[in-house]
Amino acid sequence: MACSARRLSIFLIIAGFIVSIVLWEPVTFSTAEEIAPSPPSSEERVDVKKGLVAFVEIKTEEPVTVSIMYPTQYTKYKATGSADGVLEFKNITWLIYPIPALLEDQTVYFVLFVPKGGPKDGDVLFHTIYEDINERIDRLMKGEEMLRAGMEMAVAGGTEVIRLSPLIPGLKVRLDFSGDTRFVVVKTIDLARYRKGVKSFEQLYEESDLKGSEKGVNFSTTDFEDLYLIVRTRDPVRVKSVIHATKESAESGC
Amino acid sequence: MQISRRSLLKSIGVSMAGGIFINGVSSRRAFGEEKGMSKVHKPVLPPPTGKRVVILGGGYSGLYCATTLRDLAPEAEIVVVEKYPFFISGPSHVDFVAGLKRLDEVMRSYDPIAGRNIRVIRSEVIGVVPEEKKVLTASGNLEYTLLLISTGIRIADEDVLNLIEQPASNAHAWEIGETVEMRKRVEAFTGGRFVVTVPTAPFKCPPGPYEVACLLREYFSNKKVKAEITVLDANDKPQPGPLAQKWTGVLEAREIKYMPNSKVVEIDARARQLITDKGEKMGYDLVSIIPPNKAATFIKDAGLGDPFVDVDPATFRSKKYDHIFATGDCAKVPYTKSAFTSVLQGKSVAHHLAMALGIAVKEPAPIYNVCYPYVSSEESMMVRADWDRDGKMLKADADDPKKEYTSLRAAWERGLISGLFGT
Repeated sequence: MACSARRLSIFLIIAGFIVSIVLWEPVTFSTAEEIAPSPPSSEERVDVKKGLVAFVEIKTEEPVTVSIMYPTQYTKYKATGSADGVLEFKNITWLIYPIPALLEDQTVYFVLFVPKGGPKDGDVLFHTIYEDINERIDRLMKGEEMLRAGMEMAVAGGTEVIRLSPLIPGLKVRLDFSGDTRFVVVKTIDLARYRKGVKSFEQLYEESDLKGSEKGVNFSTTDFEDLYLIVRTRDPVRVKSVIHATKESAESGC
Repeated sequence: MQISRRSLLKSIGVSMAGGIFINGVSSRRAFGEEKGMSKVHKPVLPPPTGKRVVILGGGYSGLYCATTLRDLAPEAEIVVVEKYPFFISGPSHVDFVAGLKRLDEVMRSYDPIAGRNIRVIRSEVIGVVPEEKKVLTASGNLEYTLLLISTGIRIADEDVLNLIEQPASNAHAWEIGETVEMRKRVEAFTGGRFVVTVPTAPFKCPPGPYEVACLLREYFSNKKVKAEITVLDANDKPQPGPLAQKWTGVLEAREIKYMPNSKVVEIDARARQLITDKGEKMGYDLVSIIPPNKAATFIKDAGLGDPFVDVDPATFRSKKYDHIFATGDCAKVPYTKSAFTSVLQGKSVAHHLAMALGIAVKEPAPIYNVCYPYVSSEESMMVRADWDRDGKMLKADADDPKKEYTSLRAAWERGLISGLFGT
C-alpha cells in the first residue's frame, strides 16, 4: 500500500512536470534545463545614459511574462538559467516601465517568457523613448501631466490582486476594465487582512471609498501608501492601469 | 562629552522599562525640571517674554538649526523638545548592529547644547495647535513665536499585521531600542536564514537595509556562522533607485538572495514566517522587518500635511502657516532622507527662521548630499547629489566601492557630530 502511494506520488510529480512543459516555455526559472532558449525578439537590452530616463514599452496581443534584469542578474541567468530574484510581471499584454539613470549609466535587460501558443517572433512590440530627467521635471513643474507608468494584465477570471506601486502624492491613476468586473482599491493592511481571511471581498467593498463595477475609474493619490486593486470577474478580462505624473508629484521628491 | 557604555545601557534600560518620561537618566541641566512638567494641561514654560523659537526634535536637523540660530539670533529664546535623553548619530546604527562600533562612541549628552543657551526639554510631542501657536507635549503645553518641526520619521508597526501584538518578534536598526535588541540577536544567532525586509520608499537612509545585509554577511562569515541571507524588498529594485544596478551586483557577489516586489504584510511569530503581499510565505530564524516609515500623526492632525509637512523646499516654511517650518525626514522636500541633508536643512532653516524674526542674514547655501554606503567593513560606495535653492536636482554622482570611502565615511560622521558637540 505504502509502495503504491509512493509510485502514485512519483507519477503525479512527473505528470505535473510534463503538463507544465507543454503549457509553458519555460516552466519555471529555477534550472537551466527547464528554460527553453528565448527567441531573439523576446530579449531587449536597454542602455540609458546618465541624466536620461528611458521609458520601455512592451506590447503584445497575447499575455507574456516579462522579467527585468540588471547586468549581474542577466549574466547569472545566461550562465545558470536562474532568474531568481529578478523583477517579474506576469500575464502582461502592455507595459510601460521607466528606467531613470540619475547617478550613472544604466543597462537593463527585458526578457520575455512566452507561453505555448503565445505571441511569435515579431508579434511583440518593444519601443523605447528617452527623455532628459531635468527637462522632464521642468515640464512637470510647469504643469504638464506626463505618463509615468502603465500596465495591462490578463485576468483569467475569479479574483485577482494587482499592486499599484510605487505611488507618491499627486499622481493621476486611470483604471480600465475590458469586461464586467467588481473592483475595490485597498491599502496594504486591508490586503493583509483579506489574504488572511479576516476580511472578505464584500466587507472591503462595503468599507472602501474607491470601488465600483464601471468600465473605468480615475483617482488621484494623496500619499505614499501602496494601493492594491482587487478585481472580481466571472469571465476573462484585461485590466489596464495608467499612471500620470503631475506638478504635485514632482514636488514630492520621488 | 561622551557617555560611558555602562551609563548608556542603563539609560536605555530605564527608558525602555519605565517609559521615556522618567527624569534623571541624563543631565538635569539639559532637561530643565520646571514645576508642573508632568502635568499635561499646564505650561512647560511660562509664556515667552520675547521671541521664542521652539524646535521639535533633537536630531541632526533640529540641533544644527538650534546652534546656527543661536549665532544668528542671540536674543531669541530657543527651546528644543526631544523625547530621548541623549543624542545618537543615526548613520552609526548599522555600525553598531554589525559590531563595528559601540553605541557610546556615537552617543552624546545634550549638555553641550544646553551650555550654548539652548533649552532642551525632554518630552514627547502630542500635538500642535497652529491657530494658538502652541505645542502640546506629554509634559505640558508650550507657546512659541516660530516653530520648527524636525521630528524625523515614525516607524509604522501597525502597517504589518501582528507586529503590534508581537513586538518582540522583530528588531531593526531604525530606532535606538530596536537597534540594541537587534545587536543582541545578531550576537546570539547560531545559523539559519536571516531575512531583512525593506519597506516601500520613501524611508530613512535608503541604502541602510542593503548595508545591514552586507555587513552581517561579513560578520557571520567571520564568526563561521552559516547564514542564508535574504532581502525581501517591497520596491521593484534596491534603493535608492539610481543605485539599483550597483546594489544588485554587490548583493549577488555576496550571495545575498534579493527578492524585489516582495512586500511583507504579516508576521507569524509562532511559525517564524513572513507573509508577503502576494501571499507567499518565507520562514526565518532571524528577522529584521523595517516597517513603513511615516511621519508623526500630529502632523496630519494639525492639518500640516499628510503624511509629511507640506513646505516650500526653498525656505522650509509651511505652505499653510507662516510661523511653522519643517525640515528633515518629516518634511515633504525633494532632498534625500539622510543625516547629511538633515544637517544642511537645519542650518538653512535657521537662516529662514532668523529672517522671519526680522534679522538680516545672508541667503543660506543650497542643499546637497554626500553619503558612503557600506558594502563591507572595509569598502563603501560614494553618492553625491546637488540641488538648487528651489529643490531642483542639478547633478548627481555615484562611485564604485573603495576602501578610501570607508575612511571618508568615518571622518564624515565625526565631522557631523563634532559640529554639534565639539568632540
